[in-house]
Amino acid sequence: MISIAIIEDSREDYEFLADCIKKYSKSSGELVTVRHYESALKFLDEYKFNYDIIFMDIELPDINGVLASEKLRAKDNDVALVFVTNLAHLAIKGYAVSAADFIVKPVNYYKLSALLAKLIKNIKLDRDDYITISTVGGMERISLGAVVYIEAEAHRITFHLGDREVTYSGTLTACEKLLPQQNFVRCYQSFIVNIKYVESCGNTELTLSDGTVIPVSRIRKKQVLQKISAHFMGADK
Amino acid sequence: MIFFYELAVYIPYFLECFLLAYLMLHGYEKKAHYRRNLILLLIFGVLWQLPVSALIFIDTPGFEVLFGVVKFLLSLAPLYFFVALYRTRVLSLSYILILAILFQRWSSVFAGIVAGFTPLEEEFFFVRAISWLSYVLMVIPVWYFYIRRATEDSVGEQDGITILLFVLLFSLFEIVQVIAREALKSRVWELVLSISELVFFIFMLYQSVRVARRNRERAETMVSDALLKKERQQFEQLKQNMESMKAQAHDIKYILRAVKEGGADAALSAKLAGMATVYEASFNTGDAALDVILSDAEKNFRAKGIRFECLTESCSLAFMENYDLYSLLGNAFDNAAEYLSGVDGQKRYVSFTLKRRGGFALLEICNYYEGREDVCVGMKTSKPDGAMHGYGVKNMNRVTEKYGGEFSVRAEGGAFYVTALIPLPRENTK
Repeated sequence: MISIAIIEDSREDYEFLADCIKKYSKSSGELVTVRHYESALKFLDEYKFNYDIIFMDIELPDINGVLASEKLRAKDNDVALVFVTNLAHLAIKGYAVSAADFIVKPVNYYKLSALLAKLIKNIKLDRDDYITISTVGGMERISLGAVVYIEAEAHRITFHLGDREVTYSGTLTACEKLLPQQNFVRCYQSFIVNIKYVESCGNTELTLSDGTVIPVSRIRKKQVLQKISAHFMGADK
Repeated sequence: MIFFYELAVYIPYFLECFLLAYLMLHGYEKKAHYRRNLILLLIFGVLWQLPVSALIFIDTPGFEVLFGVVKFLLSLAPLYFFVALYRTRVLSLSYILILAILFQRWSSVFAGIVAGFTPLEEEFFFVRAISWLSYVLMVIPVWYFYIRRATEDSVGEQDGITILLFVLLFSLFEIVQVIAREALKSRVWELVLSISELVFFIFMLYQSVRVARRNRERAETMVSDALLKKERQQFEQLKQNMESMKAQAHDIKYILRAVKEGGADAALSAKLAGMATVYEASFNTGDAALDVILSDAEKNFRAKGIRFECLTESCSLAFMENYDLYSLLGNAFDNAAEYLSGVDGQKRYVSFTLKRRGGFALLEICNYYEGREDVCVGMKTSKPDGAMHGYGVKNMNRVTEKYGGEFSVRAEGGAFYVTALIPLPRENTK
């Protein structure tokens, strides 16, 4: 089940988009729920991380869509955000809103269905990603989305999560096999990184979004870049 | 009677070499009236063997060996008319003919040895039959494993000196062979000579494939470079056009204001206002080069009835050289337009997004696609003239690699995506 919110002040435009989404749902067999908001402020007020995809109209009466998106991003950095616009050429000042994509009114069904296919595939991959490892203190369940990187040192594997670290004994190669291929990549002999957190890539090092710098080997760099590319474009494979 | 024996040697000899040369020339571009000329050459070549065979009646005491070589070469002379059939140089053809002669020779030498171990070695037609059989048996694997591949690489395209060297070596080799054979008349020497001929032959094959491969690689870089150069020129041209258009738009606005102040008629000012909006660059991505490229792309797409949409985030691509960006996007847009020419209605859309994620710029070109999704992953071409399309992809790859990035194409959910991930230089990422 994929839940979608549409923020759109025009009833007519909303219905057209919702119909296209339903048509996609029917043809793909993907179950979707669609919720309509006429006002971005109301949407932001009520927002409780309960949507997978948000279609945000750019031209809204109370607060424009780009501004609303910035506010949304302050709350939720991960939800897929799609701009809906009248303009065939939309140039957004800044890049903080991290829109997943955009569609232009009147909505082109073929474009929309390709977009939904891409986003839904990605959403499904991100869901329910947990692994369980046995540490000294007992079994520990780790949400893979929170794993920034994994480090190996003398048969001790350390999971660096945003706010804490989990250590157990094992080998990195065995650990690598437990992780989903699409998000994790071994960037160095003793490091595995979650590409979601890679901020930039230098010649021999990766900078992560929390400021950590970890090494990347020359041979593995190509693979790292490939995964980053696939991840950003929502085509994880 | 002796004349007919001669004919029975020369006609098959010619035909065997003809077939081999024909197979090796297969990859070459054909000239006009190809089929007619091919038949004429074949007929002429066979008839030509009549006077050649008649040379048997000339008595040449002391020079039999030399005369024999001359006759064999004479009988093959018509093969040079292949020059009139294919676009090839005489030198390249010489090279191919030598290869053909060697192929043929080896089969007959082989037959000679085989026949030598049977009691029927003096039976003329028995020896011929074995020779033809070994020829056929040899042509099939040689065709399959060597010629078919070699023609793709245009084996004949060696440089002049190499070919001359081969012609010389080959002639020398042949003369020594014939003299040695006549002088020694020993089965063991026959075998030694045959093996040395085989070694020479293998060496030539090896050399020809090696050189041809190197030449092809060089040609590829050349085409690639030429394309890049062309793109560069086009881009400069485009930039100039855009600048002059912007200047015109400015002029029009200026006139418009003057007209308004002077209270001229509304119809004229409306018309002028319309003109100004058309002229004004409709893209404002914050990157001048990108604006130019996108405006041009939109113009082309509009002319083809393709809807072009784009979303750009603020992400300066100024660190990329203009023609690199042009090469990257231009090729992708061309490919998209090419594919969409085969579909109608709403399916005709292309979208472009430029995003910035952390220290990376992401460029994605997406268009409708209904083919199989697995075949196009790692796809190089969908155009019938595969070569040029392939170079387009090569250039896109080269551009992204130049900036340390990653280039990929894929099809998914009814759309085709071309993606370039390019790391932003350090000073851009703050």
